[in-house]
Amino acid sequence: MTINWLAFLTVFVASVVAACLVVTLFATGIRLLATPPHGARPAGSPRDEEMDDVEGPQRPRRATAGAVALFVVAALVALYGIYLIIPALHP
Amino acid sequence: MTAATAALVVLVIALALVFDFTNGFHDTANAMATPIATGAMRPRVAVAVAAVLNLVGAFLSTTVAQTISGGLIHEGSGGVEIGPAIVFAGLIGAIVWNISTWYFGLPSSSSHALFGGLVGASIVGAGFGAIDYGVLLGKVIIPAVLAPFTAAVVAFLATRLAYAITRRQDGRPDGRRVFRVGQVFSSSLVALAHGTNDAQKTMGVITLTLIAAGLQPAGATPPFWVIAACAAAIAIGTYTGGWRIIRTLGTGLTAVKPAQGFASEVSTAATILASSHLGFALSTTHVASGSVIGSGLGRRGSVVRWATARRIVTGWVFTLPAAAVVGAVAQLLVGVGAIGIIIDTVLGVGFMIVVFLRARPERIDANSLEREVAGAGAAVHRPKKRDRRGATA
Repeated sequence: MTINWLAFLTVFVASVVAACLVVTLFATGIRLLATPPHGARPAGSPRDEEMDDVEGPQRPRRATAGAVALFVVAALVALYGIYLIIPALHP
Repeated sequence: MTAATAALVVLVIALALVFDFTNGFHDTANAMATPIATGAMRPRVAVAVAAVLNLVGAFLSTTVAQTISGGLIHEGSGGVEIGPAIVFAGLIGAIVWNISTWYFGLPSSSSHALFGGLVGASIVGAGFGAIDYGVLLGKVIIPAVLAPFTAAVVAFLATRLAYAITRRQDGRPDGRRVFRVGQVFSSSLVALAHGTNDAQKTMGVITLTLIAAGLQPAGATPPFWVIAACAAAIAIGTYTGGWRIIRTLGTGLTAVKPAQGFASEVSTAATILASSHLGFALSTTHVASGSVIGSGLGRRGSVVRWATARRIVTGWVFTLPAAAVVGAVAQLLVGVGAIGIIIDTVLGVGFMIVVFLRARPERIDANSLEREVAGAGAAVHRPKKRDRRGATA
């Protein structure tokens, strides 16, 4: 039996695309949630923390709406994943 | 059907469920090691969620394979008749190996263990010609080599992205703690995918044994009690939580942070789903381990402990042959007759009890893991003296 390299390559590309898509959606949502209030000044040098909470409630409303929209799209992609693993849904 | 055959079928079903249980507790880590490590879910909650999703998953997907070995062994006319006796010996091999790798905290593929056990038993039963080496290479060995690398690359890219997108240039909080919320969902998806994949294997073993014994017509679908029993066994196994393996995957390979954990779980889910739907089957365990390593390489300033990775890979290399040797020995005893089967069963159960007793003094459970996660941060995991000796042995 030969190795189906084309199938492997398809799996590889599909995995990269799907994973990067979901992570981009979710991370961009978090980036929007972390939008500082209007007119806020920079608070120092670039920040790269692991356990930061998002900043308080004065975030622009549009940022919140955008974040929620992105989380919903990410959830839809995950739902598509669930659709894929249930054989009964696609004969 | 004689009373002896009936007894053997009952024994095989019981062993298959024990195997399903070990499959569950071995693989809890694939979904739940990273959310436990970042504190996204408390250990008890995480294993409960994984157990429920495995239970649900088992009911969602009940199509079983046509052959027990997936073409690995020449079955049927001109090949081996894989009857209850060979399945019995194969299961003993798989269970013994799963328990052994659990003791050393090594994530290893339960399907490889099962294939190994069956291969060993078949070789004793019918010689080396019984194995289709092309299938062995193409469906077992090559995918096992490719899976961790694939997952590592995917997780590396996903982790880089997650950090690049959320990095703040103005010094204000970046909100990365929110990734822990995402982790609840991403790890749940992995658990569900596991339930749909793995419970099927045991359903297949039991159904095909019933067919071989003439209790079910050929080509039958699993009866409801088989589905329910397999779903319950894998869920109970998952809930028991292979805490040793969870610790290896969650804290032993690299210190996992929320953004990294999320990226790693999404990569595992994406790779498993892609592989099972585009026709190139990869083992969940190999993918999950690869993802954790890839995400560790992708995060700035994180350290991957290659010594642990080497131990895990060594376990993978030995899984199939070791389970095959145990399966072969078990099959040799089966050849002696009923007394051999009894000796096999007693030795198998005895082995399990001994390993569990040996594991008790250095017990790792939900509480000890929770303390470890709480005390993490700066703390570097250092294995106990006994574990270190195990690592070099």
